[in-house]
Amino acid sequence: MWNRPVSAARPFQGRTGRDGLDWGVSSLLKLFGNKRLLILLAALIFFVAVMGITKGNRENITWPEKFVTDSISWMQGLLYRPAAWVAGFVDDIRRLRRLYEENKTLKRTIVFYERDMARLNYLEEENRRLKEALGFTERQKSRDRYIYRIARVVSRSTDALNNTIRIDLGSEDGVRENMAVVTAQGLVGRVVRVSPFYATVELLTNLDIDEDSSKAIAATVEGNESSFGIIQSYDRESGLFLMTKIRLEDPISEGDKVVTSGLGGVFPPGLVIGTVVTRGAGMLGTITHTALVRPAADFDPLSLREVFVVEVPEP
Amino acid sequence: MNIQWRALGLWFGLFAAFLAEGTLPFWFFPAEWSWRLSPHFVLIGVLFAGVLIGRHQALALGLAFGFLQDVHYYGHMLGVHTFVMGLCGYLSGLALQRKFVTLFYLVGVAALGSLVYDSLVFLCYWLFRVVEEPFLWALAHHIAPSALLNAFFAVLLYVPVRQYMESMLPKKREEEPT
Repeated sequence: MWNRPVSAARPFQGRTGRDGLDWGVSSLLKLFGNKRLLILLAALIFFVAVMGITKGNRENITWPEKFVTDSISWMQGLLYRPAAWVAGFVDDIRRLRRLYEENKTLKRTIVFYERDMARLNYLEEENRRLKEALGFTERQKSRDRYIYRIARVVSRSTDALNNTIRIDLGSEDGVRENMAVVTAQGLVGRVVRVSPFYATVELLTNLDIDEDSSKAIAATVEGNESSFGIIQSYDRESGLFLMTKIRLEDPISEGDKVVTSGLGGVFPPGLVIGTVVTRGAGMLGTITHTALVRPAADFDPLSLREVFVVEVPEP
Repeated sequence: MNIQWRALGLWFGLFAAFLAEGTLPFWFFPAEWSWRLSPHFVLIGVLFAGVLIGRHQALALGLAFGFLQDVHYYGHMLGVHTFVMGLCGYLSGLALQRKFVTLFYLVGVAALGSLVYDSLVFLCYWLFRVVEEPFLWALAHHIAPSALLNAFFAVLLYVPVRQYMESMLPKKREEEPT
């Protein structure tokens, strides 16, 4: 295997003939007679080690990293905003015709919303009263009062296999690692690294098969919270999430809306992930079932102009 | 001295390319293609530097900007882009230098470089089981379309980049060992 690079590099190297190596000498000798290949091998070993060490959850990034990424993000923000504005403007013009229809439908739905709102207010009041009567602690009461912080996207990775974006909220704004990131359509990702003024968000399309379980998302079905499964990985080929560890007696089936369960302790419950496409026997045969889930959110730049970071309030 | 200033300008130019490639191009792509097309402005610059200036300059540029890419878009792991971009820059300087460089040659270098770059990145991720899809799928999904896209960008960048890089070389260019 090492023969080829040596012979390829040979014509370009002035000093190859110095030690009188002939083509017949064993490849091992050639390998160590060639300084360039030796350096390449050393670099390969070094970088494979770096990749292995830095893979997965490395929560606290160092201050030079924070400084560099923050400065770059600031500069990228200057470029991204006008570009997003122009692209959005062009898109708006294209959709102008559809806006009229959309407006009409929206006006109709707002009436329904108002009716629901009155009901919601009543229910919320009742819920508060009952919680009080049952002696809920302050911590329990504040558990489902999430704060949705809007963040602007400033740049995105150019690597098709590493889908990350940078947003303009950082540790100074209270953003922490592992916070959920959503759009109006549903869950899109999680915060993975935080610097003072910006943060890196890993999109859900980055979930991979060999990830340690801390990255997987505990999920359930809207309307039937006793269902349980784990959003384990994303298949780039089909564009679907793989949901595993579904119990056999679980009634999850096609068309069910999958939401976060909140059992992982990282994501708040109720964030929309997607819709079940199929359900079937898993890799472990009949012990547990798996399901394929179509993502609810879009991951294209126009859908990801603004995102929301979901903060669960600390008591 | 003038040449040193120009070398510094090259670094700033590639830095601007780095800022631009993560913010500007994909607004012009169709939505379904936005993660499939990877604009590699920096890589094009590094490959051109390898062909037109020299392998050591290209190696330094590739390592530096690959590392920047790794740190800034830190998702799976560090080191992938540093290694691959450094390697691509060095190889372009080692194997692809020619006496007479034409537009078509440089565009071919950019397309080939983009192909090799994305394939090696795929290989790194595949080694660490970040991706499990077959290589042929990746080739059709994003590697080949990105190569075409980058060939297109190379056409756009050809004149300014080439003029700039050739002005960086000392006048006695014939003595350069290739």
